[in-house]
Order: sequence, then C-alpha cells, then structure tokens
Amino acid sequence: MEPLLRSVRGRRLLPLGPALLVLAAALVGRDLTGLPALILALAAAAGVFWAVSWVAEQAARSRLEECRLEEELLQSQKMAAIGQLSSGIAHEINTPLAVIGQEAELGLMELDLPDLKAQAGLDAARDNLRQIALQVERCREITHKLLSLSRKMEAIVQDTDVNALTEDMVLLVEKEARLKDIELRRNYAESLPPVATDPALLRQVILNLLNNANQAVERQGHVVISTDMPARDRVRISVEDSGPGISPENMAKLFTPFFTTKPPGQGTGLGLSMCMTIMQRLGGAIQAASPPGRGARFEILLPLRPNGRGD
Amino acid sequence: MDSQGYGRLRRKIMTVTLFFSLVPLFALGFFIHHQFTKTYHEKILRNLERAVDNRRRAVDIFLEERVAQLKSLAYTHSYEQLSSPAQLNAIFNIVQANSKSYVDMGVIDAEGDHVAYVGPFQLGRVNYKDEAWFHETMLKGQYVSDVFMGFRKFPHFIIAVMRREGNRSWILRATIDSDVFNSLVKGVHVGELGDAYLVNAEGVLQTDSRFAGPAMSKLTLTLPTQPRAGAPAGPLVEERLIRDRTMIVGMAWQERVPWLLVIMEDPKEELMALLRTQSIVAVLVGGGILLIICGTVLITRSIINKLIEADREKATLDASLMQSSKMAALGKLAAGVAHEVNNPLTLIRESAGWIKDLLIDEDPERMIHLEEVETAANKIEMHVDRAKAVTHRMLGFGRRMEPVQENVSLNMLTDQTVKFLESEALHRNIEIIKRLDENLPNTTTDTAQIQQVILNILDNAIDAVGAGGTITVSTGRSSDGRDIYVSVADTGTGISKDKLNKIFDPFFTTKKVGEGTGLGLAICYGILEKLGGRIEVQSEEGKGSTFTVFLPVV
Amino acid sequence: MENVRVLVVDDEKDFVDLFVNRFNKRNVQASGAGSGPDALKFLQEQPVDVVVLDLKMPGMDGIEVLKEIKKRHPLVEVIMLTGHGSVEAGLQGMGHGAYDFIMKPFNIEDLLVRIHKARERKVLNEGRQG
Repeated sequence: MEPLLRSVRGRRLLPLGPALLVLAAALVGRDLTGLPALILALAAAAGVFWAVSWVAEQAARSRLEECRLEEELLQSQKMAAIGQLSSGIAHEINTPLAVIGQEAELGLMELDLPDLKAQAGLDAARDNLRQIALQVERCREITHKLLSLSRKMEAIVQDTDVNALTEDMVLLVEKEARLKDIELRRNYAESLPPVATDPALLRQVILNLLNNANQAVERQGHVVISTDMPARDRVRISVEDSGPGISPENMAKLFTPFFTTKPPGQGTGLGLSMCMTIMQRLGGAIQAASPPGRGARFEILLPLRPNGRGD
Repeated sequence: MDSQGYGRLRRKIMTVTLFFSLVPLFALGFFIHHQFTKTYHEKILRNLERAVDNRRRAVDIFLEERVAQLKSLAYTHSYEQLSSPAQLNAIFNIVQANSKSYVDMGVIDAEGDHVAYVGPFQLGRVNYKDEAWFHETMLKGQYVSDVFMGFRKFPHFIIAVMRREGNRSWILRATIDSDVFNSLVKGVHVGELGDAYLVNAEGVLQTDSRFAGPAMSKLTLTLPTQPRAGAPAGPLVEERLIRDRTMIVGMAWQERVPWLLVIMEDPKEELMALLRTQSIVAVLVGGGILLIICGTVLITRSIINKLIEADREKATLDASLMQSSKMAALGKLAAGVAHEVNNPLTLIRESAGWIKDLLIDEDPERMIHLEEVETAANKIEMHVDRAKAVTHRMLGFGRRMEPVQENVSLNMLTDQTVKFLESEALHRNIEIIKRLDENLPNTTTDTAQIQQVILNILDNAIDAVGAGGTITVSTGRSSDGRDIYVSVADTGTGISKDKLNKIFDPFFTTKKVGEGTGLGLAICYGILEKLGGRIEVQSEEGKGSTFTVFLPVV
Repeated sequence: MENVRVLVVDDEKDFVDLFVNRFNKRNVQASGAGSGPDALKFLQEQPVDVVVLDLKMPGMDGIEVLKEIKKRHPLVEVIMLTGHGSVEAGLQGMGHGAYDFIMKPFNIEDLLVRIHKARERKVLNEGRQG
C-alpha cells in the first residue's frame, strides 16, 4: 500500500479497485433490474471511489507530514551536533595554536638578539617565523568566529516591536537596493502585539534574509517584506524576492552550514544555518519555499512567548 | 558632411560604378561582336569554297560519266551495229531510260558524214568535216564541246568519242540535255540574290545565269587564270562588285573541260541571320545598360541616404553620450554636496531642538520673548526640513544611468521638475503657470530621462522669455486617448518658420556661440523616440513657442 | 531605577555636546567622547550602560571601537550610528555584537526608546550571568 500511497497516480488508481468491486457486486447481485438499478449501482461505485480516494489522500498527507517532521527533527539534531562539534574542535585547537604562536614569537625574539640581529642571512628564517605568526592569527580568527557563534546564541528576551525592528533593517538596506533598482515593498500588519524575543538576534536573521534577497535579485526587481499573524500565538515575517529562485536540489541543503550558492570567495555559507540556529533558540522556525518562476520566499515564525505559552 | 559633400560623393560613386561596369561590358561586347562577325564571314567564305569545289567535282564527274558511257557504247558495239538506225534507236532508248542526259545520238564516219542519228532534230545528211570539233575528236579521241547554237539553233553541247575499229575510225556523238546540265549547276543553293553558272575561257556562258543572261551570252567578268593542265588549283573565293552589289564569288576551273564554275552569293543574305542575332544582342545590351544605370542610380541614392542618416544618428548619439556623462558628473556632484550639507543640517535641527528643550524650563513670566524664541526655534526646524527636502531631491536626481521603466505620474514629475527651476524663473520675473490635468493617467517610462527632457524644454523657455513673461506648463491626454502630453508654452520671441524644421537637428542653436551647444533638443528628440513618444513644436515669431512632449500610455 | 548611563562617541564635537545636553534633560546620565581611544579610556574609568557609537570616524573607526568595547566590556550594549545605511556595516556591526542601528538624522525620542531597550537587555544579561 505504501508505494501506492506515495505517488499521486497511485492514489488516483487505488480507489478504482473497490469501486469496480462494488459495481460488479451490484450487477451480479441483480436483485433489482433495469435502469434505476444501474444508476444506483453506479452511484454506489462512485461513492466508494470518492471515499477510498479521500482516505488515501489523508493517509498520504499524514505520512508526508510525519516524514517532514522527522526530517526537521533530524535536521535540528544535526545542527546541534555540528554546533557542539565545531565548538569542541575550536576549543581543542586553540591550545596548540597558542603554543605555536608563542613559539614563533620567541623564535623572532631570539633572532633579534644582539649577536644574531646583524646577520642578514637569517632574514629568510625571520620571514618564515613571521608567516607562521600571521597564519596562527588567521586560525585564531576562524576559531574565534566558531566559538563566538556558539556563544552568542543565547537569547535575551525583551518585548519587541517586530514591525519597527523589521523596518529598521529595511531602511538599512534600502539605499543600496535603490542603487541597483530593486524595489523594497513593505506589507506590515496593522497592529502587531509586542513579541517577547531577542531583538539583536532577530535583527541578524532579518538582515541576513534581506541581504540574501537583494543578492538574489541582483538588479531590477523587487523584494516584498511582510509581517502578519498566521495564528493567535505567533508572528510571521516573510521576505519574498523576484530573483531566480532556488532549485529543488539546493532546497534540501539550504540550511546546512557552509552551504552556499555564491561563487567561492564570496560569502561563507554560514548565514542561513546561523539563522536556523537562532530561530531555534528563539523558539521559532524558519522556512523556505521557491515555486518555479516566482523567486524565493523565506518565512520566520516567532511565538509571542518563547515557551509557546499564549498570553 | 554638408549637402555639397554628399552630392559629390554621390556623383563619384555613380561614375566609378558605371565606369567599372559599363566599360568592361562594352569592351567584351565589342570583342565578341568583332570575333563573331569575323568568324561568320570566314565561315561563309569557306562554305562557298566548299560548295564550289563540290559542284565542280560533280560537273566533272557528270561529264566523265557521259564520256565513259559513250566510250563504252562505242567500244562495245560495232560500227555496223551502231550505224543501223534501228539498233542505234534501241541503244539510245536503253541509255535514255537510265539517265535522261542525252538529247540525241549520232554516228559520224571518218569523212564527216552523219551516217546514223537518233533524236528529235532533223540532221539527216549533214557533214561535219569542216567542224572544229570533228577534227578535235579525230585527233584527241574524245571531245566535249562548249555550248553552241549549231544547226539545232538552241544552246547545247556535244560529247564525241572516236573509235578505231580495225582500219576504220568513226565517231559516236551525243548531245547533252542542257536542262539536266543546267539544273546540275544550279542545284547549289544560292539564296535570292546568288547565282551559279559555267563560263568558258572566253567568258561565254555555258549554262543559264540567273542575272547575267542565258547561255551563250558574254560575261564581262574578269576570269582568273586558267591553271596549267595537271596542276589543278583550288577554288578561288573573293569579293567582287557585281551590278552595284558586293558579292562573294567562288570560281573554280573544271578539270574535264576548260570551263569555269562560278557560284556567287550575296553575303548580306547569309549575314541576315547574323544581323538578326546581332540586333537582338544589341537590344539586350542596351536594355542591360539601362538596367545598370538605373540600378546604379538607385543604389547610390540609397547608400547616400543611409550615410546621411547614419551620420545624423551618430551626431545625436555623440551628443547624447556627452550629455549623459555630463549629467552623471553633475549627479555625483549633487550627491556629494547633499551629503556634506546633511550633517550641518542635522546639527542645526538638533540645536533648535535643544533650544526648545531649554525653553521648557523657562518661565513665561520672566522671559518676555519666550513665545517668539520658541516660534523661531520651530521655524528653524521647519526650514531645515525644507532644506533637507531639497538635498533629498538632489540625491535622487541624475542618479541612474541605465534606462529603467517604471510607473510614474507625469503630473508629479512635471511638478518636481518645475520646482527645480522655480527660483530661477522668479529671479527673472517670469511667472510659471501650472495647468495639470487631474485625471491624467500614469504611464510606464524612464523617469530620469523624461525629467531631463522637461528640464531642457523649461530651460529653453526661460531663456526665450528672457525677463518678465509667462510660461504655461500643462499636462493632458491626447485627443485619441493613446498618449499623454506635457506642454511648455512661453511668451518669448518665437521661432521663425525656416528655423522651425531644423530645430531638432544636432548642433543647431539659436543661441550665441558659447552659450549653448545646440544639443539639448536633439537629445530630447532622441530620448522621446526611444521611449515611444514624440516631441512637437509650434511657434509664431514674436508671440512665443509651445513645445509638447507626447508619451504613450502604457 | 537609576538613570541610564550613556556614552556618545562621535568625532563632531558639536553633535556630542548637543546630544549630551539634550539627553541629560531627559533623565539620562550622558557623557561624550570624541574618538575611539577616548571612549575606551572613559569606559575604563566609569561604568556605562549604553554606548552610542558613530560608524565613521577618523583614526579608529566605528567597527574597531565596537570590537574593542565588546572585548573589554562585553556587557555594555552598543548602538551604532550611521549617516547612510549600508548592509555591510550592519552585518559587520551585528556580527561583532552591536545591539541596534540608527540612522542620522534621528528622532531624539526614538533614540531614547532604543537606549532604554538596550539598557533593559544589559540588565537581563547581567541577571543571567550573575
């Protein structure tokens, strides 16, 4: 049954069986004769057909939902694992890095001692040590970034005016967007209640999404930013762009760390995965959709109260 | 390039093209004609030569056959047989049955007496002893005579052979049917004006000539020399003037008899075919030449026209580009200025705000001018806002370089643009009246470029008015509803009719040297064309001008 | 609650003075600094809740100052001030821990609200850490 349920055609063919059975039974039974009997039989068959297909649809849908939730859980577990792993690694590496850095410094100092300072032949060695120190510094920056990423995710909750916060971020990007002929359209809900969330973290997410949207459109297009309340206890902010959209293969990998569609050297691919982590910390969610030919749409969902408790 | 230059270029192109196409054509045509004519002529001569040769051979063979026939008759029959009239008759009939060449036949004995005769003439007891031919025949054994009248009183010639039978010699003589012979000679196809005949060494016709007379008449023809016997010469073909006509004459001496075969034809008859072909060709060539000339003229004209157009487009483009880069530089300058000005403006506003803050603590009783100071502070804030609006507008102006289509209200755009020049106009005492149609629909077009156009026209209007006048700016919808327009009417000096149709030409200006580039309106024209609109002008000298810009409603 | 302690950092002296004066009138304990190093020195000596920091300054620029402040006094919240918006500056600033962004010219009341919000965050943060 499973494979049948999974495909649309399967779901459509499935009810045929029972329907035909009923029809056959009616004809074979033949208690009643003539046209009324035939119509009745057909009606019964049709009824069975619709019933079975409805059931099949529901089953398929719930199965799909199950699968999706499973995937989401898996994803967030993965994210958490990765986060832990990377900060663990960063911590561990910092120690040997510190040692290397120190040794390099010491080496340079030794080469500066009075009896060695004059010797120009050791210049190559000095350069090498300087390079080592430089690269150690670079490694430090990378680990620092990784660590700070994991550290800064703790949410500090304040009552936030989501419309104002979103508008702030839009104003920030508006000038550059205008230069590239990208129109930023606002569609804010009339009155949103204050949301208990971390405004700094939320700003980062929104700015990230706006930046991505602008980069997707590149020039001459529009980005629609809207806020609304899809349910009584949550607020939704969506950023929709008129860019080329996201291909189905990329959709699955969208929120993985280091995943990026930008050419190498531009962007680190940390953005969306970070957004997802932040949203999880905030007790919310982030989703992406890209209907073919209609660009991409990112939605952030925020509960009014982070623990999911309504007011 | 000016119009003279274009004219010169046109003439040059046409001349060169015609020269290079017609001269080779003529040369080739001439060469072909010459070759063809020569070949044709040659052919005619050769043909005649061959015809003469063939005919000569035919005549020779005919005569040879007749002689042979007579000889075989004489040597296969005895004198007794042949001199018997009955036998002679029978033989004659047999011979006649197979070839109707003989008119009569006779036997003549050694004394010249006609001993037997079969034929249509009454030649009974005739004696030929004194005849030249008799002697000749007795001497040489065979004889072919020239044509002569003789006893029979009509042109004929005889062939006679002698046989020595034992100790008796006798002659068998036959008269040749001149008709057969004539037709043999005349069988040559010589056209309408040609002629063919045999003539003897004295110039006496042996056969009938078409034009020169019947047989036996004398010709005034210069005959070529007779070849020596044994060394036969080929036929001679030459052009002769005969009876005021240039004929090609082919002549050849027969080998069997001292006669000259003459065949002549009018070359013009033969050449008729050639002439016909030639005249057809001439017509075709003439037609071709006409076509070439027409084609050249048309193409040259088209090329020159395109050149003129391309030149004009280039001039406009150059002007437009120059203008664009000017605008870009201006835009950047404006942006820089606006930015610089923003900071002090902020400070001024905040200072005013600070003053207001301080005034809150003041007691109206103790500060007499409290209310006024507060009002002044408010005014400062208000005017700072106004200044900010100006800088904001400056930042927006001339920014974008690429054309962009956006939905725009022409009224708003016009209003904005007019504001730019309002102070300038006021300064010169010029009143700007705005009549903007309220129900004007929006349209999709390039805002920056349309702004540039309106600005340019307004600027021109202000310059035209000079000082103290009116400029009316109106917007509206065209009568057919497909376009919207903005028009700027001034009460300036107007434009004269002869300048009116040059007004949109690049580099045309009515301003003094150094004051204008003459590019503004040309650029406006180009911009409008690209945006699917148009610009029109109406003017009356002394009364003023109206420039109207039309844009399609999209 | 005691007045919020604010440090304004901007290279334009008149702006700093205005700011300090106007905010002092609104129950804010405001002080000013004319450069990054000056600001850091001040933070060393005096407790501050919120720093209002101009992005573009000669010498040590806004982002540098932000980094230093966050390194030495991680609990102090920073509000970035900018003359024209830039996505780059926003991302960088927030990446290094800035709490908020405001563009010149600003409404003084609006800035006040943000300052209070920043202080609220600081308090919450301290509570958590303490």
